[in-house]
Amino acid sequence: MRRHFRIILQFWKAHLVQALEYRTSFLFGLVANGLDFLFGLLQYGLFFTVADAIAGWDMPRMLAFYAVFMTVFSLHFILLYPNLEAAGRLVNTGQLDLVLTKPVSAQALLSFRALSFEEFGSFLTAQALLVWLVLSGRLMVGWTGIVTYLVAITCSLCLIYCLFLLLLGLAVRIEKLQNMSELLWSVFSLCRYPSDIYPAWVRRLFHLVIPIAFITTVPARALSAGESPLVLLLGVSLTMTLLAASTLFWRRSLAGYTSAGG
Amino acid sequence: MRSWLAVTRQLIASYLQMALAYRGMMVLWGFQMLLMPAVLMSAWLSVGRSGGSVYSDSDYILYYISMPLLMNLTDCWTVHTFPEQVRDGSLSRSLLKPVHPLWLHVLENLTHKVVQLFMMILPLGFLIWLVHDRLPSLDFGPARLIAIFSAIALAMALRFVQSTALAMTGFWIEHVETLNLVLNQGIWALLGGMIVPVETFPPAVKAIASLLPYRYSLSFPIEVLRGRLSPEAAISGVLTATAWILFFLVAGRFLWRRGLRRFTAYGG
Repeated sequence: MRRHFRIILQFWKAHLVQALEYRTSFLFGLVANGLDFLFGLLQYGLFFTVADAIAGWDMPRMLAFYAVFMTVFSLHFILLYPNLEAAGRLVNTGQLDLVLTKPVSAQALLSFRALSFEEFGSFLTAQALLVWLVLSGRLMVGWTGIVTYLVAITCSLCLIYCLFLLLLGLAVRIEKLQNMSELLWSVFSLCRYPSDIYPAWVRRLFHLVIPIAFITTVPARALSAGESPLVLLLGVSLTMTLLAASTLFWRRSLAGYTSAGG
Repeated sequence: MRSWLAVTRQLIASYLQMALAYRGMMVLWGFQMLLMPAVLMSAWLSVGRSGGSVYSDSDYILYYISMPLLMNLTDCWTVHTFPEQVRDGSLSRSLLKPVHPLWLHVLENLTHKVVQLFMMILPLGFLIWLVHDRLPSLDFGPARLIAIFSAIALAMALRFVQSTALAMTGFWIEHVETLNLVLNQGIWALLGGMIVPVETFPPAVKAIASLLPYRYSLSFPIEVLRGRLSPEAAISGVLTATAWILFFLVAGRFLWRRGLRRFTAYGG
C-alpha cells in the first residue's frame, strides 16, 4: 500500500514538472478554469432573478449545492479524467501490456498515475465558496452536518470511482473508449441540479437503482438541511456494494484481456 | 463553376459516408444533447416563480424541447478540428484541393448535422409525445415559417463564423480550446439563454445579451418560434445577428490571410 502511494506520488511530481514546463499555458488554463467557475456562479445569480427557489432549494442552499457539485466535478477532472483518457490510449496502442508486467497493482497505477492541475482553480474556489457561505451565516452548519457531509461526499467520490472503474473495464473489453466517456458526461448532466426537480418515480430510481442522487444531492442536503440517517445508510451500503461489484468487473475484464494482437 | 459544383458534390458524398461511419457515436451524442435541456426543463418546472414571470410552464416546455434541435443545428467544431490541421500540417493537403479549405469545413459541418438530425428524430419525437398536450399553441403560417427558418439559418451561420474566426487563432496560439471555453462556451450558456431563457432576463441583462452575438445562436430562433416577439424586436434581432455575422466574416478572413502567410512560412 505504502509502496503504491510512493510510486503514484512520483508520477504526480513528474506531472507537476511537466505542467510547469508550459507555464503560460498552465496559467492560461487556471484563469480559464476560474472564469468557467464564475460563469457557473453567475448562472445561479440569473436563475434567482426569475425564481425564488428550485424545488425547495433557495439561493444559499443552491450555492452550497453548486460548491458541492464543483468539488466532485473538479476532483474527477483532477484525478480520474486524465487517467481515463490515458487508459484508452494504452489499450489502443498495446502499451497496457507494459503496465501489466510491472510488479504493482495495475488498478492503482491505471487509476491514479496522471493528474491534471488546471482544475485546481475550480476545486479551491468551490471550497472558498463553502467557507464563505458558512462564515457569512448564510448556511447554518452544525457538527453533525459537517460529519454527515464528509461521509456523504466520500460516498459520492467512491461512486464516481466505481463508474470510472467500470469504464476502465469496458475500455479493456471493447477497446473503444471514446463513446464510453460520454457516459460520465451524462451522469454529470443529471447531477447538476438537486434530484428533487425530477418526478417522484425518477427520484426513486436515482436513489435506489442508479445512485445519481448520492453524487451531489445527498452531500449538499447533508450540509445545508440535514439528511436522514436512513438515506445516508442506504448511500453507504450502495457505495460498498458498487465498489465491490466494479472491482470484480475490472478484475474479470483484465483476466479476459488478450493483449493488442489477441 | 461546373467543376466547383462537381467537387462539392463529391465532397458531400464522402463526408456523408464519413458521418455515417460514426452512427453509434451519433446516437449517443443525440442522447447527450437531449439530456441537458431535459434536466433544465425539469428544473424550471419545479421552480417557485416570483410574481410577474414572463414564461409559463408550457413556454418553458416549448423552449427546452426546441433547444436540442437548435444545439444540433448550430453545433460547430472547427475550434477543435482546424487548429489540429494547422498543428499536424494536414492543412497543406486541403490547400491543394480545388476549393477553399474552409469550404471543406462548411460541407463537413452540414453533412454531419443532417445525419445527426436523423439520429435525433426518434428520441426527440418521444419527448415531444410525452409533453405534447402541455405545449402552447403555435402559429405555423407561411410568414411565420419563413421567419423561423431565417432565424435558424442566421443562428447556424453566426455560430459557424464565430467559432471559425476563433479557430483561426490556431495559426498563432496553442490552446484555442481554452480560449473557446472562455469566449464561446460558458458565456454562451449564460447569455445565449441556455440556463435561463433570454426573454425572462432582468431588463439590464437582457439589453446586454441582445447586443452580444450569443443570444442569436440559441435563444432567438426559439423566441421567433414562440411568437411573442414584437416586430421591432424581431427586426432588430435579425439586424444585430447579421451585423455580427459580417463582423466575424471580416475578422475571420483577416486572420485567415495573415495566418496563411505565417503557415506557408512555417513549411517553406
